[in-house]
Amino acid sequence: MEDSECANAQFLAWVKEWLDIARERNSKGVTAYRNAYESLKACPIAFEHPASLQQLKGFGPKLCERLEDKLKQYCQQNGLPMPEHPQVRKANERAQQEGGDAEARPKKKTRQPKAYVPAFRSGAYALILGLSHLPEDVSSSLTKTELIEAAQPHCDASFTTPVDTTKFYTAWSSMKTLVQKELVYERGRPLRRYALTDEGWAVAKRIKETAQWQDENRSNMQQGSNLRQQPPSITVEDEGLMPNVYEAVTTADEPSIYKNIVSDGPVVLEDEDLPTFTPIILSPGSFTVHLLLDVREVRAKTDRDYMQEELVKQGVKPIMRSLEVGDVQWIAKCHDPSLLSRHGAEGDEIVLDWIVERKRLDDLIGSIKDGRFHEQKFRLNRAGVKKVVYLIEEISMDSAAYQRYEEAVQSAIASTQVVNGYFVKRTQKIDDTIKYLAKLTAMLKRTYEKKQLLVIPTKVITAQNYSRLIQHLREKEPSVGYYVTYPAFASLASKSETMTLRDIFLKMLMTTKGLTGERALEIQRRWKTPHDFVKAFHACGTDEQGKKRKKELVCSDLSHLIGRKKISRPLSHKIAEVWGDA
Amino acid sequence: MAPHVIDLVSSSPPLPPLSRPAEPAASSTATDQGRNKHRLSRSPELFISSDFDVLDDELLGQSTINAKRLRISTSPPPRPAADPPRTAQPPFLSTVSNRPNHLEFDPIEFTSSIDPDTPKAQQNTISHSATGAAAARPHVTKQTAQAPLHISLSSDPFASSPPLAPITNAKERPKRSEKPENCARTIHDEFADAFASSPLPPLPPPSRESHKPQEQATAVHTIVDVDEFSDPFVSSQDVNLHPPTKVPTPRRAVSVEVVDHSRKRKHWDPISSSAPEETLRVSPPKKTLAESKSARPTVISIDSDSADTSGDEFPDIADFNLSRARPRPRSPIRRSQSDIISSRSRRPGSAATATAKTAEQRARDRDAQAAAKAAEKERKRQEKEQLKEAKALEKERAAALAEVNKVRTDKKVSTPEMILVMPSGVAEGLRVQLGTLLDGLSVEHTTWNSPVANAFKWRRKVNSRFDEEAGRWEPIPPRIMPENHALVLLTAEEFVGLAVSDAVDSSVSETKRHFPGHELIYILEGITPWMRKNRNLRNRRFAAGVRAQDQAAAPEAASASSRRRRNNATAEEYISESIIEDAMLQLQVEHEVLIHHTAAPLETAQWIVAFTQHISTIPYKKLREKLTSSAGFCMESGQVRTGDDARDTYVRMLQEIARVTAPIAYGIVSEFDTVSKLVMGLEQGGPLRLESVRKSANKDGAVSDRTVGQAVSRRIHRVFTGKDEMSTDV
Repeated sequence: MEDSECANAQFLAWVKEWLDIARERNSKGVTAYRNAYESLKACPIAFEHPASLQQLKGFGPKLCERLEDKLKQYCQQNGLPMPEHPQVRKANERAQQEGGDAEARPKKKTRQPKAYVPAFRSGAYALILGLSHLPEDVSSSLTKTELIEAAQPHCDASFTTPVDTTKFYTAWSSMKTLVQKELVYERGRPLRRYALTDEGWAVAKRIKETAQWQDENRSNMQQGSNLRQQPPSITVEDEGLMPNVYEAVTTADEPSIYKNIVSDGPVVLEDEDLPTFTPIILSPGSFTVHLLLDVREVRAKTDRDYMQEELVKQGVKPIMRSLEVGDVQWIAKCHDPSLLSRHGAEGDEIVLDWIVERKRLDDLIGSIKDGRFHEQKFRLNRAGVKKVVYLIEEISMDSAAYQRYEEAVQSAIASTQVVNGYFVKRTQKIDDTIKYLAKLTAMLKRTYEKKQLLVIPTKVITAQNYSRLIQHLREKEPSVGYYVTYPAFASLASKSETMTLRDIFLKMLMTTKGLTGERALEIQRRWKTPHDFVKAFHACGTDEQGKKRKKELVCSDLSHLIGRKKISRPLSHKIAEVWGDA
Repeated sequence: MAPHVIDLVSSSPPLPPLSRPAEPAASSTATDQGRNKHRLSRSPELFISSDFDVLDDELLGQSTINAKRLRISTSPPPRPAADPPRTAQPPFLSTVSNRPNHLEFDPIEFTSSIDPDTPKAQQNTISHSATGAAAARPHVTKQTAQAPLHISLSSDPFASSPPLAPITNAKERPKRSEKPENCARTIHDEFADAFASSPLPPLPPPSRESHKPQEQATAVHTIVDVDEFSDPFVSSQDVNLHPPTKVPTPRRAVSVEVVDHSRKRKHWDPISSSAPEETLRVSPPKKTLAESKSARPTVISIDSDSADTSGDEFPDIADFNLSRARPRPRSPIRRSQSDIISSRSRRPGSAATATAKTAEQRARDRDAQAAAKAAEKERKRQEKEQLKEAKALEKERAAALAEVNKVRTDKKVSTPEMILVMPSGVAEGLRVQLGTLLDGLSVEHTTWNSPVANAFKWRRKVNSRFDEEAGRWEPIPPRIMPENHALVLLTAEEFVGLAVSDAVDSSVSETKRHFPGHELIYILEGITPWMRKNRNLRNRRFAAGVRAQDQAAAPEAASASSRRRRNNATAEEYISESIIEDAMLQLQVEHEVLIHHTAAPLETAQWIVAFTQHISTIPYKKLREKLTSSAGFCMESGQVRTGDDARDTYVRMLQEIARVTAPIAYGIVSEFDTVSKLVMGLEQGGPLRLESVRKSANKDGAVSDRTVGQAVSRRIHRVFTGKDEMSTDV
């Protein structure tokens, strides 16, 4: 589209002028001007006054002001009347209208603005209720921290944490409104203290009369009292928790402590090779279901404990651990810690079928771009967990950046659902995520704690037979669930991450263009290690004949292959070039 | 070109009926069988009319053959002098070579699309022959001969065209007899006329037309015979026009003429007009004798020949034909036509009309010999053909195999396999949107009466099956298979209704009962807006409640506002979100279905399409997963970065080793510029050979002062000299 065809050609021309100047000067404003330019250019609506441009992306008050100045100048030069400011015009119109049909609509004129009522469970609502806990005398007031602690249970949004890392306002922002409306007054410097005004007290009382408040309060009273008894620092409630966290932190970069719990074992190809075993039976009531949260799951670098604290507030005590795979997992913890060890398993925890991989939308896009997305799904798959929940948190993103990947994201989600069979849950913000996890935990508690669990003794499991064994059991007895202990699971998962020389060789082979995984596997079957392979090329000799032999080495040695495994002559030449100097 | 073709055809029809009278009634059956035989044995490479018959109702395969033929036939002129046997080869080869190619293009068509293709192919051949005729104009005889052939062929497809031909022919004959010398020219002219007259076809005498439908089949038979009768013509034509393709004809014809042909050919090719003229000259006297017995013998002999050629198996019938042939009275029109034919066929023996018997005997002797030869040739030919067919089949199979083994993990490739089955009760807007989106992806869609409200399902067009043993996809006849996914579309209101009445369980169980073993996807449309609305409702109630108490003192104002609100209130009730959330969790945990949320019907359509696309890749992705499951890492494309050339590949290969960074890799590459040198160096220098190698500062090999270090040196040493593939110490 040409600039002249734009609906706002004159404004566009000015913006373009600034953009060009910024470009010339190499100024940092180029991006801002370009954004403004592009959004104005794409806008099909014609505007009279620059102030209306603020509704476009890329235009702020400053840019509109500058445009207004330009326009003023322009109008003066050309003897044109300056268009009215949209607000002024609206006001005039309104005045006219009301003047015109004042008799026709007298009601409207007399109608009074409704009394201010904060939205239910909003920040303002919670602040008023928080302050209403104070005795109704003049002297008492609360500091910000005290007030937040009192108010938070009444609010859906957080007073301390922005919705996501790209935002800065919290539920506390409503305090400004309350002060403005004179429901709350603040005093004191440097530490401000807050209290309700008389008007505020009236509102608070009325709120407490409503059915909605009474409904909420029934549940909130319990939760609130709980909270007061056990402040959101987990150390107090769960002695076992802190040690775990430390352990996880110290071992974060080391190989997993569980690594050698499960042996590798021989390769298992047939179902007949699978071991037979007597499962350890855990009867209902002998265990409880717990949520495991990965220590790396943080809201932000500066707010590491947010999720864990919030989960506690929702009534779910997470066990923090460095998880081998996934971000959230559920285990059944035996009441009797020695029960499993008496029967040939270790620890006192059983891994349940559910695992959650949490991804923020921007992370998801990043992982799609660099291929980690497939890799992570591959590892989840390898872990042998039946139910994977892929939790996507839709933080607000720059819409231009998001649009570019929208299709990729859609495609990734659809394929995760139907191809991998994972459950994809999308949430709006971390609080929703936490709420969902809490609800899911409650649901899993209900589901599992009334069932008996069959545990596969760890000694029959090997890294090689695990996935086949699990698959076999699921096919044989789809209605019965078999489980493994957490140490065994972690061991298997960490093993799946370790690379053998074979894997490295396969990867090295695959760096040659056209050498797909299937073909690399065939080459590796023939030549076991990089050393074997290089030596095979050596053996061809160095003269002309040898060179020719090198070039044909792979395709002639693997000539029995067909279909997608077939290695073509040109590919064989390429491989020889890399590995055999041919 | 098309009109010309038609013209030729239209002019040609006279012959087939003509030949008929000459033939005994039985012969038709004989020839019929013979024809069948032709179909089986003689196939593609023959350019003769009989082939065309075959074409009509033959398999798709022939269409490809036709295409080939076209090419061959157009080229012939340069080659006429070649010996028949030798010439025989090229066509075979060419056909063989052509065939696979064609197949590769559309193997599916080959199997399935017969109807649309064959007609086209026919037209092509016809038009081609027309061009051939045009090219061969100097050889008048050829043309005439050709014309009938085509006619017979064409008679099937263009039922109406034949009538005209008899007239033109009739004209031709007299002319020819009058001026034998100029024959070639005149005929040529006449052909031109024929072309001109072709538009006339509508004129045909009614009786003819009445015949037509019944006789079509017989006409076809006669054509075969005609060929044999007119062998000279055909052969001439073949020789001149289509030397390579021609070969089969002599064999088939077996008759005396085979020898003649070869001779004639030599004559003809250089001197285009002389040979035909002779034959023509001969024909006029025969015409007069047309009904005489002398004429018969030749005909008979031809018949026998034809019997031989067409199928040695039916000699009896052929004999029978002979005896029977004479008494048969024919309609005048036919007779005249048959006369013409017979005259032509008799050409060789025309000089000895008086000594008809001797000629006949001689002819028989020759026939016997020729028959033997022909039988031999036929056998060889069949063998060759079988071989060729086997080859062609093999290639065709290879092509089909290549086709079905194409990578289909890309959704763009696999999507057209899908068929979306929509519930018949689907909203019109959604249906239209889905239709548009699916058409863009060439996905078929149909509707069905789903037992559950708004349940979608999928089907797949399957044309291959994975052979575990061979490790590849094998083509199988196309079929339509049901898919393992089903999708249920629920609007927010419907879902909330279910949740509130606690009917989610029964609804899902009902759905599961109708789709046993299916993966269920629930699309919940508009839950988010519903939630928002619901929350607003609650907030409005709350605010009203607060104000109501405030305004207890000022009741009038309150009543106004509450009145308005009451209207809303009766319409909607606030529903606790947790009921909805619990219902969704119940779906997820207890019923193990996938849930997807959309905001509007358009988004729903987009997602249904997205699911369609991804469901199409499932079997292929699962298979790849299985094949690469023995690797300890994800082999999905894009997981391992590939190099641009040998050196780059080498660098990237080194970086696949843990903790080998790009600077280290480049540093090593500048020390050992190939993999084999590196291995040699490591073998000689030991695990610390690379320890002091400088890391690279940039890609050009400039070095920094940092070194690779012991740990990495050891690790690389282990990778390149290690002998234990399962070692994890790398």
